[in-house]
Amino acid sequence: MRRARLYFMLAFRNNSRSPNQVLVGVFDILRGRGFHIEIGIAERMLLRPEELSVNHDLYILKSHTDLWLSLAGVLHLQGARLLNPYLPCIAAQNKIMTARRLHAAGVPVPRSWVTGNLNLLSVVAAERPLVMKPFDGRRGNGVHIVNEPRQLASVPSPRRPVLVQEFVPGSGEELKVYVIGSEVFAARQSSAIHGKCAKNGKSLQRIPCPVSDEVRRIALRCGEVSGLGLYGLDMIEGLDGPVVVDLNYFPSYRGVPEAAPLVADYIEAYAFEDFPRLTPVETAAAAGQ
Amino acid sequence: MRIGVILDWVNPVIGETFRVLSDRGVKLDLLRPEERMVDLADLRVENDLYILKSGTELALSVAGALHALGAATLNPYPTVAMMRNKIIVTRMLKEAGVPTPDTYVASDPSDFRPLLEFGPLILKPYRGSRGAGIHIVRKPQELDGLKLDGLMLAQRYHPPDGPDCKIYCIGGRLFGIRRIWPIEKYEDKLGQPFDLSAELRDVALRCGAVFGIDLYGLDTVVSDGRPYVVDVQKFGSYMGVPDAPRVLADYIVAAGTRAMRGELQLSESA
Repeated sequence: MRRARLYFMLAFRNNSRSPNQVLVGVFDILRGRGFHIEIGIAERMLLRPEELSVNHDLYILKSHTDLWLSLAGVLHLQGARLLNPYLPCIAAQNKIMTARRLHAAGVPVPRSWVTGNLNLLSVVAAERPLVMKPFDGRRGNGVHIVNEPRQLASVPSPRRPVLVQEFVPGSGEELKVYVIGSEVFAARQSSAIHGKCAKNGKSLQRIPCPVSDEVRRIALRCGEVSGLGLYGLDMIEGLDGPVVVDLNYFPSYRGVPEAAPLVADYIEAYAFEDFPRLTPVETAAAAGQ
Repeated sequence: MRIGVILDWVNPVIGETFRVLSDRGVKLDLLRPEERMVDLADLRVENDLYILKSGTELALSVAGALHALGAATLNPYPTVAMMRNKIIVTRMLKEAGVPTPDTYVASDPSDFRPLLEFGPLILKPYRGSRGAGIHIVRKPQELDGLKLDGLMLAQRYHPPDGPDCKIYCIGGRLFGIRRIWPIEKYEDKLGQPFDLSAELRDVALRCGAVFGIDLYGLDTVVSDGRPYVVDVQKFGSYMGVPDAPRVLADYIVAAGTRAMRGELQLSESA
């Protein structure tokens, strides 16, 4: 019997030369269960898109780079299976689409606007502080806070669309929420937006915390709406309850106890879904060969 | 019938198409997302069909949000989103047996240096529209001056035998227009209609079939007697197509009717 072949689409950040510890754990567990694992790192390379074809049973899209997202699109159109599925991933990359979709599904999100002309924002900026984010930004890159209308003048005219959201006052901490299928985890982190930025490129400390029923309900609703199974949310606990300010597919799961076995289980279950020709017994037998 | 049009500017063909549609009793709702402030909570599906004419990222995002809320979009939003990505388009055209120039992708233009030994290249941003950011590169030193701006596509440059051949498709009907480049005056933009060869006809229909659409534009270059498809547009300009406003209006009314009956294929399942 053939072993199920998994392909992980990765990119390394901050010149780090190895994947994060959670992923290393996931690879070890899946290899132990008989999966054949290949890891693709889209670094500097010259590529021929014409030559790409589907060679693996499941592609796991971990990276958020333009290159991997493009290659994921090519594979998707050729009938490859992707985790998370391709269309939910590209939709999650777009904060404008995500904000509208979550709002329509009853998920609490800040009031949001879009425009191509920042001058039009002065009316809303006069009424409340605003947060402006590039529509496809990641990790807080390019975010501007506008506390009063005159600050609009100092915001560089964006080359790409921005999502403008009402600033949600909170405790100065952000809730990082991680979901693996139906399991929800949370950690508190001081919010970069509140001025406590990471120093020297080091990540901010995250302190695991209990997940309230409300946070769990909101987090799982986001998964239903977005079509993602492995995802992360940034929430701010505002005066009226938690508000979702960001959604990402396949987050780092940094600081989540037991993330590796749970992610491995999720990938295994997903790999065998609708795949009667590959069973764990067969792959385990193959692994022993 | 209510039809929303997401647009940034209106060329004469589209303007005339709007007039024909209005004459037929279609209520048009023109949306220019760049020029207004849209409260996302107010963005609702208020039309039977949305035509995505603009190619800006904001227009695409607005169309994506409407699609997520259940709107019918022409062309379907997921298809348009993929057609925006030239890496995906190149691979799909190859899959469909459509002749394209050899294509390479890199995020640093200097990676294309060795390819110049074998002839000039055309460099394009991997997401782009209306010819923005396109460079013909012949010598390695020309790569040095290029700004790094994300992923770039390099295609082998095939010198054209004559004017560029635009091909437009409206509901399976194909129209060929020869257009000189660069455009110097308005008449140049209209170009000259020509009869498509069986080969170009076949190429054009394959392009539509691979994306599952029948409203699109193509840029082809004929070099050494061989056609190459160098660009595909989700919605062409249709400039120079005989009777284009009427043919387009017929197509749009038919699509709107199907959308009202719930027959228009709205989305690709995830």
